[in-house]
Amino acid sequence: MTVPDYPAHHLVGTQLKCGWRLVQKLSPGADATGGHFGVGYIAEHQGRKAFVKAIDFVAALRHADPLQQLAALTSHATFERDALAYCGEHRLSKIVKLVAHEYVNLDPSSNPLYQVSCLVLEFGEGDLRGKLTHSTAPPCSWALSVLRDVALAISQLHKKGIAHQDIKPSNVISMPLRGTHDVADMRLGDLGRVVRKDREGPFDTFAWPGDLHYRPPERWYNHRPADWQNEREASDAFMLGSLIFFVFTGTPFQPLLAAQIPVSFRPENWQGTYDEMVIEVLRDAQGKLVRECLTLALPRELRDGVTAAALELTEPDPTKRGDRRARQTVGRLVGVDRFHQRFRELALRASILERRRIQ
Amino acid sequence: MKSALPRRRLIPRWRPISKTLRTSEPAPASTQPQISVPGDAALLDQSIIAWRANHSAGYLGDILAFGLHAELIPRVLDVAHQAKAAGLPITPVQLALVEALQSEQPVVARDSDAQSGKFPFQRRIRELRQLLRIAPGSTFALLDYAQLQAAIGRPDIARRALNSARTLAPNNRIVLRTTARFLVHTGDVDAAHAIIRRHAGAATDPWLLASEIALSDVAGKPSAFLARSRRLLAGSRIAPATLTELAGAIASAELGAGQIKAARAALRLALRQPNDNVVAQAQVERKHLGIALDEPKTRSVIETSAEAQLSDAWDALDIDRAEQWALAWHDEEPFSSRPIQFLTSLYSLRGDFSEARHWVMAGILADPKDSGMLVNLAFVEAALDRREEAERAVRRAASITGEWQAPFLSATRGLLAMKANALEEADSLYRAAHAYFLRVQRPEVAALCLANYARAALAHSHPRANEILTEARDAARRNPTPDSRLILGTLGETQLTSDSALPAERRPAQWIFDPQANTLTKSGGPSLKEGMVILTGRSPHHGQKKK
Repeated sequence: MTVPDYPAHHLVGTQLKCGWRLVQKLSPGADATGGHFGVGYIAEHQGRKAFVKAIDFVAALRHADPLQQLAALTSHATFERDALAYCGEHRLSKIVKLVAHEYVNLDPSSNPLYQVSCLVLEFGEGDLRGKLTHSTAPPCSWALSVLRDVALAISQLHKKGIAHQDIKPSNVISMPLRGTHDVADMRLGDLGRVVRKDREGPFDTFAWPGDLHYRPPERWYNHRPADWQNEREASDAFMLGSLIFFVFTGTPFQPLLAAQIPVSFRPENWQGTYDEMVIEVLRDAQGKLVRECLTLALPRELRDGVTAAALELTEPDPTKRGDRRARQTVGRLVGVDRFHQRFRELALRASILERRRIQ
Repeated sequence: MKSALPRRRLIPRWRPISKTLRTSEPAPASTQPQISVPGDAALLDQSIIAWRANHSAGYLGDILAFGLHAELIPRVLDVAHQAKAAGLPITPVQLALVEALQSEQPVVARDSDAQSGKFPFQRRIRELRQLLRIAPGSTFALLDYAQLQAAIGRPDIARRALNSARTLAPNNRIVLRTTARFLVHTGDVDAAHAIIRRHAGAATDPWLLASEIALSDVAGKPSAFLARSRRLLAGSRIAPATLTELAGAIASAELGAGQIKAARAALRLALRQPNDNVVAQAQVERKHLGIALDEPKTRSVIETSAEAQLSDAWDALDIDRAEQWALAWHDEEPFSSRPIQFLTSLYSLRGDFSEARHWVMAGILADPKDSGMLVNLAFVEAALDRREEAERAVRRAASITGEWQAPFLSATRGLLAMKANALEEADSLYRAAHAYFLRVQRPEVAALCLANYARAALAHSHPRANEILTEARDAARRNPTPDSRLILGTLGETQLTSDSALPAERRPAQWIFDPQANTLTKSGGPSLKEGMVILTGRSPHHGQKKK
């Protein structure tokens, strides 16, 4: 048997000790979690399916600085596994669960360099991108249920001192519906870029840990707030706000906002700090986008509630971003948990409205 | 009828916010280099592969997120065009974003681009109300809303909007300067000055310093920061575009104090990278300072400045161009009486009194106590032969306006008398007005008065009409203004000299070509009168060692 160049790419048919058999390799970009590194597989066991994220270390060893690269890769892999395990231990219901973790080695001589780390995660029906299939807006109750679930996931993480930092449509995983009343069951996947309060992580010092294209606007101007609330939780809040635009208009908020900024204020041209002037320019653009792009996709009865949430979550000033009332409390909390409540109520109202319209 | 363009000062401009944001006013005083982060092309590849496997609008939306990075936009657009061409799912907002990325225009059209600033502004006010209902914290929307409320004569609503804006963004210089400009509009000049002077940033921010100096002049008070501003200007490393209005304000203050040389030096600094406000002021002051406005940067600003273009067109008596730029100026500053007064005068001088009345009413709506507008209203009503309305307007104007406006009203009464065929009374009233203007050393206004008198006399077959016309021609030749030239032009006069002939001017800077060193150096000060653009000679730095 020949040893493959990159063993993580050649695991179809492999049986893991925990019982899961890897049956299908996922094409790049189509993986269920939209992760930054690793190869995705579908695994089966006793009629159930799971998603497997396989990571090998061969590429690191061929890097110009193999030691540094290997250290970084193992650190990332271990950190993600630990974060997933932590979420499982604390029963964070809206985070994709870690089913198992083990190493496999396809090398006949069991050369440790050819070990592959396999994270076995619960299987979803695909991510949010695949759920927006049409040119028209989806049912409001569904869109608000998605936002409700994502807000709950973020809130669960924040309560445990974890900031996700990479909330985007490909990381919102749709799970099979269990109850007859629910219209959506979404979970947040890919904890590969999280930042934790209680322990140091590989991404703590990164200018931005997650996907660059979903960064909040202060990061476009290289502004990093000094405290956890405004640096980490407010960033997650912004990405949740961006998802509001995504589910109702099919477009994340970030490119819309960037295109609305006058040329001299664009990050590549602006020579000042992230000051009041830039924030006002962004706020002006934000208001116009909410009015022109978002409100048109909303039924009149829900317009005020959804637009208020969108404005509070996509507020350009990170120190003011978040639930308005929570921001006035002691500690000036971002209050994503309150958005979960707000979206839950809005989703219920939307369901009632839709049922009335059907009747 | 009052003259077309009243006195100008370098007070802050109040444009629609979309236009203000294109100027140098919001630029930071100090600069820091930006670190540009490139987009992740490999991740875009993955997203495109995913979209090819599943052509949903959601996957396309994920690709559009990469539009954040300029270098990835062509590839993003390529995918979007493929989706459009193949009839694959694409939402209206996605289409709007694609169009915006392609044309480099905003997703939502900016206000001024929509040409919605025309009087009476209802559509624009409605849009702003909707926006503010959704986003009450939008400071810039509050400023635009206040501007339009001021333009339709609702200063209380405008004041409330501006107060809200100041509460939301107490340190934003655009908000502060706009509030000050509004207070000048409402006649509360002291409050306008105090808002700027008392602000903590006024001592260091060049834009606030400029406003303080200009507003102290309007308020008739000494500037608190003039000396500090002079020092800042002398030793500053701040970008010339940021300093332009401060230098312009200092130039005006120096000119007011009779310090011509210092004023000229400051104006030269102001013109290094001027904005439209500074250029318009320089056009007014060039006659006193003799500084040419033909530097490329200045010319390019003049070409886009409605006020400067209007001044140019008016001096050249290019009526159509003047009208076009006056309307553009009104579009920028709909609350301001200056473009409206100009339009009123222009249409009156041209004999289009119905159009003149439309604009007088717009001006009175913005400020029911504007004495200039009331004087013009009386004149226009008289010219339209609406005797009762004219007399009511004269009474109203007389009850509000001061001594300076009385001779204008006297001339309007003269017109009414002429129309009633009471020629002796008309003569007496016109003559009284004429004598007053001569007495207060305003011969150009006296000449304008005579031109109006001659037009009325000819229209009503006054027995001495030709005699009055000759007298008016003589007066206008001695003291020509565009106003009197325009009136006399309608009466067949073509020989009047242009008053736009300026004294010999200096260039703000000269280039010195040193043939020995083969260098081209910019001179340190203004040129001599009628100086050449390039001089040949020894560079002032010739022979200096490089440090």
